[in-house]
Amino acid sequence: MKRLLPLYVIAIYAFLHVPLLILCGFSFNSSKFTVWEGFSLVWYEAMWNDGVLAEATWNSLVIAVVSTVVATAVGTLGAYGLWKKNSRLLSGSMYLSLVTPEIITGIAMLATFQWAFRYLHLQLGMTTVIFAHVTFSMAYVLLVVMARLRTADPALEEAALDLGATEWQAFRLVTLPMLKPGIAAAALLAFTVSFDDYVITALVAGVDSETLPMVLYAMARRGANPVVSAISTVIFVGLGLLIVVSERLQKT
Amino acid sequence: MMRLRAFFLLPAWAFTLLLFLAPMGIIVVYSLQTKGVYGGVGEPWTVENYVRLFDPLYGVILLRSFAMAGAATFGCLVLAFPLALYISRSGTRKTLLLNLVMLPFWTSFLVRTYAWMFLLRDTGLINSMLLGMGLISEPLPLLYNDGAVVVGLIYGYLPFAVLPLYSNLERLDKGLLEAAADLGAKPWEAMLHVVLPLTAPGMRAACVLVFIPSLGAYLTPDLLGGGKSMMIGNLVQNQFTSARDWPFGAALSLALMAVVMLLLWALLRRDCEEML
Amino acid sequence: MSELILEGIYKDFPTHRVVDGITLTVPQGCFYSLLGPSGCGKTTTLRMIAGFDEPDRGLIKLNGRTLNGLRPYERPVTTVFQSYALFPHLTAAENVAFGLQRRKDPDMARKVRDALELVQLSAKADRLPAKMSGGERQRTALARALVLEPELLLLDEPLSALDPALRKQMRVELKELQARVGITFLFITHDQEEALSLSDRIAVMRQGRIEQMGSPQEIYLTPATRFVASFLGGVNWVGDVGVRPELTRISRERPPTGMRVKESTVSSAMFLGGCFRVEAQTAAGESLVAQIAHGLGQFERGERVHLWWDPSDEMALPE
Repeated sequence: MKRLLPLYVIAIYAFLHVPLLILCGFSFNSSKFTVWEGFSLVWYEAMWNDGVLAEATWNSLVIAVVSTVVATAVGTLGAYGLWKKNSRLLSGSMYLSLVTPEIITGIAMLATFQWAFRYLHLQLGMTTVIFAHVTFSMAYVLLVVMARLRTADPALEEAALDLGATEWQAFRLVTLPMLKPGIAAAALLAFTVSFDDYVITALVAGVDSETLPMVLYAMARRGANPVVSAISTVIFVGLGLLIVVSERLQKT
Repeated sequence: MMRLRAFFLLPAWAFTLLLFLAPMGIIVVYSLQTKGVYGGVGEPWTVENYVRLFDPLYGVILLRSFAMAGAATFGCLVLAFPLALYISRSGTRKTLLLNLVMLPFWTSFLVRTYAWMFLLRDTGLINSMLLGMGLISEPLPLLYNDGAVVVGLIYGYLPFAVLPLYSNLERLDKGLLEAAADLGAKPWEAMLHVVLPLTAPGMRAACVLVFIPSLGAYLTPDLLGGGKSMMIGNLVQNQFTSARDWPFGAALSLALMAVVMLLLWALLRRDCEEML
Repeated sequence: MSELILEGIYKDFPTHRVVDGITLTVPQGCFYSLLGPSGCGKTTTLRMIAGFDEPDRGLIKLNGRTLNGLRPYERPVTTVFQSYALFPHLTAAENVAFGLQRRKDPDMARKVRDALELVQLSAKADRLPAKMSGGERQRTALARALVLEPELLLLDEPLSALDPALRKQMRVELKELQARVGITFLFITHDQEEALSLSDRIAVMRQGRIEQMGSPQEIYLTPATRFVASFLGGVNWVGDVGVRPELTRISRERPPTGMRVKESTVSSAMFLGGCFRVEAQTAAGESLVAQIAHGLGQFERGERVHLWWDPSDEMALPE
């Protein structure tokens, strides 16, 4: 029985990783069929030359960067505030938003925007997407930073106050530096979550703010397309690297 | 001091209030209204949408959602337990092994779901391999059915089951296993009578972390099930796009939320402090 | 006849040799202690007898049967762990029943009842470990191990987690228990008072070897090495010769003839409740302690006194 366990573990890791590795592998296939016919970068060329794809990728990056900056700031401040004095309602709501299915938060936001826009004369577009992304990203930031704060010793800030610092200085000079790796990790997490989002984005994006996941989804639905494999590989490797860096930062 | 705390919490409050709580409130309001002629919402106020939830037409979808989420949860638990056990006994390699489990999850959900489309479709890798080897003469319909969706769900949420199980197993007092052996229990008996009962909290957490997102899944049934394997999430999306029945969609959403919150409460009330 | 025999037991860890040639015999029904400082190898020896580790060399025989190679659940030996290792999800009664359930013992209910009564825990049978006091947990662990009627019971510093008053009380109970059930007890401790008060025989261990084996009185009054002498109690060393503080007397008048005398100056006098502990410095700079009962006079710091003892009470042990 004991000898079976390592074999089982290998099988499970294979289950987790092989599908992706196969997809990445076949993105270099010269033919569009699922029979290997030779190494080629033709699909990557096609991907590179696709204008719609380029614009969608740009949109995704802009949305991700902006929403990450805002979400990290809001989430970090929020985590600190809750650490000092918990508000069950706020922390409960934020954790609830993590558990709520995306389709529900998405349509709820859509409904809200539609209702608000009757009075504000605005439209769905990049801004609505960014606002939506900040909302769900900040919950992840909160999670990561709170975890960090829980290992912090409150006596350190008390010592700072005792030595003449104000509350703001104590935060800025004592707690914030200690949080830096956690904040960086949270930011990277927020970035990947934002970059990869489909469900909420598809609902609240306007006509001219297509994102990469939206384009990818449309292509995937239409049928077998090896360019999708190429795009997938790039996304997988890119986000994968970001996550590895984020993990490293969380360890320090 | 009060002002400072307000400053820290204000932005978070603003976003939460305006973009989560208020929208949920709007959904509640819509659920009690009626579908408008051109697809909007309006008077009269009614609970008819909630009544419609019990219509057998939708019953199939609701039942299927629960069944598939249940199957995915069961599958994840069974698959994750031995893995979590192995990792908890791996000494220095624990972090590496855990990272290898989590890493694929954090890349792109869309890409990972597509990877299964690539494998399972009629022109996908599995079929072309089997055809090529002469084992079958026609492609097997592996995609666009309930099974494919469950596999996709298990694939997507397996890491969520591994983490809480690992955390629980790791914290078990190793001395208890020695005591069991000392008292005459063979290894499988120790597993059954000591390890398993003490892993109950981890299993509860794993159930929550897999069942709830599975129940509310949208992408997985959409891509891997085609139109043939509709789950609650797809039904909701349907109401807000093609069916243009926002009130019903809202009621459906709230019903799903209610189930989610009920499950959370039921499974986690004992372990509440740990989660938050 | 369930006597335990350890023959030439050796055990190496990656960094050093932990057990360095242990040979001993524990007679049936004996309360036998392995006494020594931490790191001396006593716990490792116990684990090898229980089956959690295997010796690199040497045989472990119980009742004529070789235990080497047998898994813990195959050995007629049970253990009371230092942390008790009670199953947190089971009540006291269920913990005690655990081993019996593995054997599918038909008489389980009665045996569990009797075992709990033996340790005076009948009233707490349905308690979970988290709701029990330290002493109750300790007794549950004992009952759980004893109910299986092992040929040998191993106890790994079972009293060290208890507070001093409880510990003293448990010592008495433990001794009586062992006498009543008649099972051989192998007891591990670093507390010499515990070993001396409980044991029929003691093996003093140091750095993986046995320095001396014998009855408590033997090893206390006639230690084989300096280490054993110092480990078991205080010693006044004067060169190669030592004498116990309780056998060291102190007086202002001249001592009787034939006694070894040291002229000293009192440096401290502490009242310890049961006795006085008077420390004095000789002219040669040696620091000696006399432990004296009340009523033998009060001594002040700086007083010139005679410290003396009967030469027959000396222990001649070179360094």
